[in-house]
Amino acid sequence: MSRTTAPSVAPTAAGGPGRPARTAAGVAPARGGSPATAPAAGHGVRPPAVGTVTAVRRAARAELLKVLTLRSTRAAVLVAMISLVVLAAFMAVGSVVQEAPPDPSLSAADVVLGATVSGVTLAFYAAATLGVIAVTGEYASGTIRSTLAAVPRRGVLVAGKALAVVTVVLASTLVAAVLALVTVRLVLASGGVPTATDPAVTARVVVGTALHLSVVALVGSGFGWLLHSTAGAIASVVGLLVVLPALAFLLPRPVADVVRPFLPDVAGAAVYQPVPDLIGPWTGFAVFAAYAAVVLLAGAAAVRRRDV
Amino acid sequence: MIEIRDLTKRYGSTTAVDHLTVTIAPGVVTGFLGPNGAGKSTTMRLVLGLDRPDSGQALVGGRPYARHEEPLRQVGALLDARAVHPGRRAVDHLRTLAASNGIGPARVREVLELVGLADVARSRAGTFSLGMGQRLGIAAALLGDPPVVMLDEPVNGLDPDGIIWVRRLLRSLADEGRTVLVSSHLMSEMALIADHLVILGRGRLLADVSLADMIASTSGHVRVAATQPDALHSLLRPHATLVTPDGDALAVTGMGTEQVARLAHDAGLLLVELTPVHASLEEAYLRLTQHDVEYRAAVPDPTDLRSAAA
Repeated sequence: MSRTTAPSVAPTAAGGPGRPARTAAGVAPARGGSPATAPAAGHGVRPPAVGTVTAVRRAARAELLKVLTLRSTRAAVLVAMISLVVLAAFMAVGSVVQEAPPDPSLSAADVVLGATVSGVTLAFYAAATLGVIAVTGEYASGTIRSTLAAVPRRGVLVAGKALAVVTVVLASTLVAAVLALVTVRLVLASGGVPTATDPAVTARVVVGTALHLSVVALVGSGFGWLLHSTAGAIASVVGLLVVLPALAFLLPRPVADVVRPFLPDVAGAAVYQPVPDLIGPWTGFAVFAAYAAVVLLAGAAAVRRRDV
Repeated sequence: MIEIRDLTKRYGSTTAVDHLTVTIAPGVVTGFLGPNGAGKSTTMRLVLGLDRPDSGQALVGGRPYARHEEPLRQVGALLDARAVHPGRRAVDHLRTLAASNGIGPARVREVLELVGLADVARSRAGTFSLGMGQRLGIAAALLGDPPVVMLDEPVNGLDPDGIIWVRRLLRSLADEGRTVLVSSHLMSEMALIADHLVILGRGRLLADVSLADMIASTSGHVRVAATQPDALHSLLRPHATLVTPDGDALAVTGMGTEQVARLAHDAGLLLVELTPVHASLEEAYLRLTQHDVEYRAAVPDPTDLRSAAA
C-alpha cells in the first residue's frame, strides 16, 4: 500500500530522555542491524529458537515468582505448613497426657505416624486454596491479560502454573511434614512413649503427605482455570474430593464396596496413611492423581477455547 | 509491522470488528482512532491472541503473535493499566513477565528507570495512581525492547507532564524504526502524536490516511477581529470565499492569516485578533464518524421541541 509519511508533529522529542537503550542487557541479541535502518523483525530475522520444554520451564519460573510475590499465596503456604506441624504436636501431646492406658492394638508406629499426619485434613483446605487463587487471582485482578501476552501458548501457561504450584506445595509441605514427625517424636519420647517406626513406611508417609497436598492444589488450579471464580473453584474442590465420596453411602452395598477404594477420599488418603486399608498407597495415589489430571486437562481445554 | 487481514470478531449479535484489513507500518506513529466501541481495543486483543477472531488473521512480524517464541520481544502492548495484581510489587510484576520471556533482571531495572518508577518499584501496584499504573503498563510494554509497540489509550489518567512524556516516547520509538500503534478516541490528542491515522467506526475501516493528508483534506478558517468590524467585513468580503460573524470577530474561509493581515495593514485597519483555526481536523473526524457513534447523547432537535410545544 502507498502511504506518505507526514512531517513529524513533535520533532523536538526525538532522542529525548525517553529513548530506550537498545543495546541493554537482556535484550534480544538475535535481532541484528540497527533498527533505524532495518526496522521491525521481518522475515529472516528470527528470535532464538525456544522449544516447548524451555517455554514451559520459563513459564514455571515466572509462575513460581508470582506465587512467592503475593501475600495471599504466601499466607496459604504458611497456613498449610502450620496446620501440619501444630496439629501433629497437639496430637502427640494428647497421646502423652491421656489418662487411659494406650490402646494395645495400636503399635508405636501407628501412634507416631498417626499423629504426624493429623494436620493433613486441615492443610488440605490451605493447599486447595493456594491452587485456586494462584489461578483465579489472575482473573480477578486482570493480570491474566498481561500473563497471556507474555505466554500466549495457553497449554504452556497451564503447565507452567501447575509446575509452580506443585513445586511450592511439595517443598513447603515436605518441610512441614518432616517438622511434624520430628515434633511428634520429641513430644512422645519426652513422655516415655515408644517411637520406633519402620523407616520405609515413615518415609512414605512423610513424602505421601506432601504428594497428596500437591495433588489437592492441582485440583484447585484445574477448577480455577475452569471457573475463574475463587468461591466457585474452592467449592468445587471440596465438592469433588470431600462431599462426593461421602455420598457413596447412598449406593447399594455391593456397588459401594467395589467403588469405595477408587473414590477420591479413600484413594487420596492411602499414600499418607500409616496403614491404608482399602487400596495400596501408590495405587491409591495414582487414582487420586488421575482425578487431578482430568480436572486440570478440562481446565486447560477451557482456557484454550475461551477468549480472555 | 502489523498486518491485519479481513479480521472479524463478533460477541453475540454485536460485530466488534468487521472485515478489517489494514497494515500498520514501521517508523511512524499510527493513531488508531474511533469513537468508544469502534473496535480499537478488540482489534488489539485480536492481534495479541487474547481473543479468537471469527475470521481473518493478524500477523506481527510475519506471523501470528502466539507463534513467536519470545513474544514480548516482538510486541509490547499496553491494553489495560489495571492488568496488574494490586497486591504485587511493581518490580515483581515486571520480573515475572521478564522471566517468562527469558529477559534478564537488568532490563527490569532499566524500564523502571525509563518510565520514572524506579523509586516506587517496591510499592504494591494497588497503591499506584492511574497515571503510575499507566507508566507501569508502558514499562511492561517496553520490557522486551520490541520492534512493535501497541498502546491502548496510553495518556488516560496521566498528568500534563506524563502526557508530554508519552508523546516524546512514542516519537522516539517511531524514529528508531519501530511500529507504533496508539489508540485514542480524541482526534485532538492524535493530531499531536500521530503521523498516520487509522480510523474505525463500528468495527469497519473508515480511513487509512496520513495526518498531513487528513489536514489537507479539511479546510480551516481564520478568526479575525478589528476595531472597525464593518470596515473589515467589507474589506475581506471580495477576497474570501466566506465571511461569517463569529462573536465579536469574523470567521474567514479561503484566506491565509498573512493575506488577511496584509489587506488590513494596507487599508489602515487595526487588527486586535488574528487566529488560524484548526478545529476543522476535529470536524473532519466527527463528520467521518458521525454515523458510526455507538452511544450518542440524545440532543433534542429544535423542530421537535417546537412541535411538542404546539
